[in-house]
Amino acid sequence: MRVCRREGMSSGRCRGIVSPYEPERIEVYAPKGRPEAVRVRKRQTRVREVLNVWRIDEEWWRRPVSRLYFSLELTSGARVTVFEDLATGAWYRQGWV
Amino acid sequence: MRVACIAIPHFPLQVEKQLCRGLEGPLVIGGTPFDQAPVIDCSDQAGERGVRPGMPLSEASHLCPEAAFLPMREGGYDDAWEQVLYELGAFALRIESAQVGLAYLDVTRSSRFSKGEGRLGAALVAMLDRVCGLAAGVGMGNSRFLARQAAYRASPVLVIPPGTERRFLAPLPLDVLPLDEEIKERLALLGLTTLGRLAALTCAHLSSQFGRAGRSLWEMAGGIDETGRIPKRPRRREVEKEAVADAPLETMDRIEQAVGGSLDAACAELAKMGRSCRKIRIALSLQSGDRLECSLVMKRATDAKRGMLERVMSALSSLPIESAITGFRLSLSGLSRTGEQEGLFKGRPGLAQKLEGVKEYLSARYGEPTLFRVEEGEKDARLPERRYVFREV
Repeated sequence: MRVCRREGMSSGRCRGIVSPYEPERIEVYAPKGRPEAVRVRKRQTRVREVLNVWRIDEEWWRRPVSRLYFSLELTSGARVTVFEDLATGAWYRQGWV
Repeated sequence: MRVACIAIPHFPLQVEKQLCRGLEGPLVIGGTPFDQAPVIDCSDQAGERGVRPGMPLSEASHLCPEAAFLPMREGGYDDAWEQVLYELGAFALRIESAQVGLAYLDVTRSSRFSKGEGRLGAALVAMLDRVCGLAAGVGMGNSRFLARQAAYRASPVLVIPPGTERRFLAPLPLDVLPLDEEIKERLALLGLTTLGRLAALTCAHLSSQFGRAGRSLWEMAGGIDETGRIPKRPRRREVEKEAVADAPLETMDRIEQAVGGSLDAACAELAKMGRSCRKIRIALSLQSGDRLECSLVMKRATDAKRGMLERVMSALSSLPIESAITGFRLSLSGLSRTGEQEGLFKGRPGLAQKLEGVKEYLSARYGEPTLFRVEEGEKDARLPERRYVFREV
């Protein structure tokens, strides 16, 4: 169990504790809608390849969830999964998919 | 060095009784009376009639005709013994197998964790009875020889504290020493019949009579520790199964059937070890002479065949298999104890109490609940963060 103070999507009583699944707010440079560089924990890395793209739309009857996911390979060799919250335009990194 | 000796008397017989319930009366293990093979083990009732391990089976049948003769298991009793050694690994890192049914453990450090050697010995006996269904004697002393003699006389635990070795060994006959017949005869002629009498002599006296053997005799009789340490036992890290197809496997159905058969055997082995695996590697030999290999890591350790088979078949379907498969090798690694985390707090009230203390401290410091248990939420949720939820402890 990790205790993190970063800005995430969780709210309420457990806001201090972030599950490894919890999305983490990040900055993504995507001038044409597709990520070209990501900044995670103050470090910017260019995207080498977009491996996969998929969209999740749920709960249109309550609080609509609409996310566009990208599975990326960075120039550092790391693979990350990020998504754009289509309702707000904010980018998040998904800890685990 | 403190040594614990685990002696399991009549190991083959105890294993047979475990596997075939209801075996009663005199028993002889080794084969039928007509086989030209030696007796491997026999029950006490057969022993009372003069049957001894090592004697021909035909002779044993003459001495005890009403005994039940059991053939030796295929592969002997090594598998069962390996299982015992594996379980003993929970008590000590340094384990030496002297023979089937006799093992030494270096318990110099581990006895501290068990609040004394007596308790550690009792825990060993209880574990062997509970997990393996075997009755064992445990002896503890400063050397392998001392611990072994203690184990043979234990009921079921006998600890020889440092400084009392000579007193324990003194009444024992010389037969317990690993000696040549010639030396035994000479000692008998000198009127030396017990270890106490032998230890009363000086090292110089025995060395002048028997040379180097005399010195080691004197040391053993006095309970002096040997120099050789018990080596670390390598832990088993993989379960491997290899299969060669009778006829080349051409369709996915046949491949699935063959892989399923091997996984059955591998899962049975995992279950026997009480382990789950996290990684699977499969290497294929193709009819064209090529070899293909793929590895997959599962989300969580498992010992269930179905899940493994699904993952393996999905991985195989993405491989460029261009000719029929003639054989394959499956390796399951990343082994961990099954259900280890679930049982972390079970039966350990001390640990649960510590957790309660931590919870109170964190609540006092942060003023809000800070300790949560991670539980499975919506298992098939599309949003990953909903698959697990935090519940207040």
